[in-house]
Amino acid sequence: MNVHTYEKVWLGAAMVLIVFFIASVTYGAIGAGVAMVDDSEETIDPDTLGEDDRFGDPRVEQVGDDEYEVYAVARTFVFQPDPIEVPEDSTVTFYITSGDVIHSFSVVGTNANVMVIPGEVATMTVEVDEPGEYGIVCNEYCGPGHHDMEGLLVVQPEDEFELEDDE
Amino acid sequence: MSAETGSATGVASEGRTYIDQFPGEARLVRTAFWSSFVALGIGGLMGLVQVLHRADVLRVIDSTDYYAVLTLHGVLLALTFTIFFLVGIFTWAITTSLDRGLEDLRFTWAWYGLMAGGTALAAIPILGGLTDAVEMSASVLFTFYAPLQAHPLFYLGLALFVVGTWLAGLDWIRSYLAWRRENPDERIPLPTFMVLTTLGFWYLSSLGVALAVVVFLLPWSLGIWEQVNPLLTRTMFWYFGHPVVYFWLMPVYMMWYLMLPKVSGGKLFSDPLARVVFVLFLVLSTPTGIHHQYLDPGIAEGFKFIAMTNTMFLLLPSLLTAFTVVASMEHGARQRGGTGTFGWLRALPWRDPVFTGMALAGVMFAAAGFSGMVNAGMNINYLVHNTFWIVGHFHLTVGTAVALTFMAVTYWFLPQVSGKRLWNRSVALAQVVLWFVGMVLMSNAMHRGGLDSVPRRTAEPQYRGFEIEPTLGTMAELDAQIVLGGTILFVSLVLFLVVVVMTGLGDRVDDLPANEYAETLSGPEDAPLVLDNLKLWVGIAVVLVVLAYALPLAAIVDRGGLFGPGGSPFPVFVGCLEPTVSASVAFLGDHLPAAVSGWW
Amino acid sequence: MRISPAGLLVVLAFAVPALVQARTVLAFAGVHVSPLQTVLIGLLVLTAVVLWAVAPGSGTEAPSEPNGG
Ligand code: HEM
Ligand SMILES: [Cu+2]
Ligand SMILES: [Cu+2]
Repeated sequence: MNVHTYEKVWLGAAMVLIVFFIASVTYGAIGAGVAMVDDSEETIDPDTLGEDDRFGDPRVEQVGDDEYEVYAVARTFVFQPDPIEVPEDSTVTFYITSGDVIHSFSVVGTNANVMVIPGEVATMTVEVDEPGEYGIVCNEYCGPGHHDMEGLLVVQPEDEFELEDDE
Repeated sequence: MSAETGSATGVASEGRTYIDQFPGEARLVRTAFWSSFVALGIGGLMGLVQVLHRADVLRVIDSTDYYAVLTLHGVLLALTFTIFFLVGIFTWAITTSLDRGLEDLRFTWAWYGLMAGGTALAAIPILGGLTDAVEMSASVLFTFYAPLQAHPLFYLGLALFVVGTWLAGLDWIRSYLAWRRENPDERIPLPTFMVLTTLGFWYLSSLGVALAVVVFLLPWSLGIWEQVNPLLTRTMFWYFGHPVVYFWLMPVYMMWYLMLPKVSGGKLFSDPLARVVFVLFLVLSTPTGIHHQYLDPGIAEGFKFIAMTNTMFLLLPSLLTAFTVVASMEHGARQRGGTGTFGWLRALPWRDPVFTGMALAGVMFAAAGFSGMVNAGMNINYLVHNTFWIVGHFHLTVGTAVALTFMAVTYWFLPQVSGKRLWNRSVALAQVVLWFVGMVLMSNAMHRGGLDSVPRRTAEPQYRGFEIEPTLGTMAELDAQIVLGGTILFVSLVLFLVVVVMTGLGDRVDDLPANEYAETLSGPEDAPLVLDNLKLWVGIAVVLVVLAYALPLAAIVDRGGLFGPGGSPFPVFVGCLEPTVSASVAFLGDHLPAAVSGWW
Repeated sequence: MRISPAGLLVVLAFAVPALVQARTVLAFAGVHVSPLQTVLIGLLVLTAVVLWAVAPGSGTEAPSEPNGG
């Protein structure tokens, strides 16, 4: 098969480009440690979330000095808890599941963006710094009220933050 | 045409048009095109409704009905428009390049009938979602993720449609085998080769969605299963959902390889490389679907990584195509007297809407390549997944590279299959240019909005508790740009339909150019024989699919069970199948194809 | 005419993405051009292209188009 010289050059360049892409993504995943959503959590029955000790009472919990965990539930057409309040300069791990259909949990203006699938628990860890308010949207269609589904993530100044007590 | 290159693609068309050569097949191709244009017209109208609704410029429907409109837009454009056009082109490619008619036209009309009937069945509950008069709905969008549940007719229609395409494939394979018996030693003609490789991955991948629908979703919507595993059916959808992209794209590549060089006045650069490209698509297009699930919980990172790697390699055939397309155009331009490093561009036939439309579609596809590389990167994908960026991206790919190429080649095909002269070349030229301009405006603003987290699939991307702040400009400005672009697109679409209908209303003439496709500079005799060993390539494709999917699927079933860890259906319809409705539906399914072809 | 009317149409069409994308890229570089400014600059550029095209050229007429399509 005779391949034109230009074509060979192009082919070579294309391969280099592809390998470069794969390498950079690999670096991002392994080198820079950008964690991906994976299968680290057990499955869960969406119909009995009420009895679950994490999702029965959606909340923010302190688990370390500057470490917090959020147990959040997405259902048509709300996020619970809402708003989600965490202090500035902390590490927050979200555990999110759905009580009905597929939703997403997407913090506006950031790459904190994850699918929420019934039966599965999505986890992601986020470093929050500056105080401020971030919108949360559901960007997966979930039914006729999908566009009404929104929430708020409030990053509070250190001195104003206090965890609500569970009653 | 084979005399000059000694290639085996020879077709002695002797100045005859397609309808002169194959009147029966021409009627089928015409009907398939017509079905596809009806879908395009209705789908495009829905597109305009969406654009105006989201920007809150004009809301003709309730926001709760927006999703029925969007389902219609997605299904009609992504599946109906594209695939009906494809079966038309592929039928043309097989018959023209093998120089023989289909074996039995009754079978051909049967698969067409299945596809048309399936579409009609699926359309009924989708349209039902728009009115309260009918207690049916299927507002599940074209991805129909469980546990959102559509009316059973929707799943049934979908299954019939897919089976129809399978039979179409058998029809073409049958032609090929018959030809092979008579020509045991010839190389497979390039167009037929393209059809066969495409079919290879189509059977492989559409099997996944067919199983999802027939085994899980349809029985579940009928109440036979109580629940399904949402992650499993979703994964099975994307197992098909990515390759289907290449199913749309392969007829486009076929046109870029076969027609673009011809209308540029030159020859295809290399037949062997075209074969390599199609083999690469056959082998690589299916084991990539998990790249749509980078953000899904319940799938291990390693599996996502494999899909990412395969996806990146899938860039290769597209990059090779870019080379061939540009090289063939340059060859054509120089044949026409073009000179200089860039000066040859001026010698291209810009007056010809067939050429200009395809060239503009190619340019947009190159742009889409860039946003596609962003999507494919696993981590950067987190920023854009399910945002308006994605909508901007695929309106460049399927919405322009595919749709604009199809519209452009229609201006060549329509005279071929109807024997009538194209109604107005200037309107046709304005049409393709308008599509390009409209899409530039719309897609640019969609991409930018997506970077600022504007979500897709949302009737009202305006929120009560916060505002989405674009990094550059304002939301109002982005909206305005999208509305302007969408309106221009719609105008272009109307012009297209006008040209098509006016051409159809014209009279038969007998001085049309002959049915031909491009010759090659380097013919199939330069292609290693192994390229034509389709069994080998299908085998490799199957192995790669097993490698990429066996473990993820096993893990999903192992974790959540075949029918999921629990969860009730979430019907987006009320009431159930009424006998009268299903009877009238069956009637439509039977008579629509005949009605359509009679009308033409 | 320096280029054919169809060639001119295509050049004008290509000017649109050039303008729209230039504005996007400039904004990333910190230079903000308002929509109105973009439209005005755009009109200027398009007019210039048209004037260039219709001006009596240096004689290199575009090759005529034989195809009857
Ligand atoms: C008149 C031209 C068109 C306009 C104005 C238009 C507009 C739109 C808009 C605004 C959306 C996003 C809606 C949302 O996410 O809320 C959309 C989605 C979509 N469009 Fe188009 N579009 C046009 C043509 C096309 C064409 C030609 C195709 C394909 C051949 C296409 C395929 C799609 C698909 C597959 C979706 C995604 C549907 C979903 O998310 O379920 N569109 N379109
Ligand atoms: Cu939602
Ligand atoms: Cu894909």
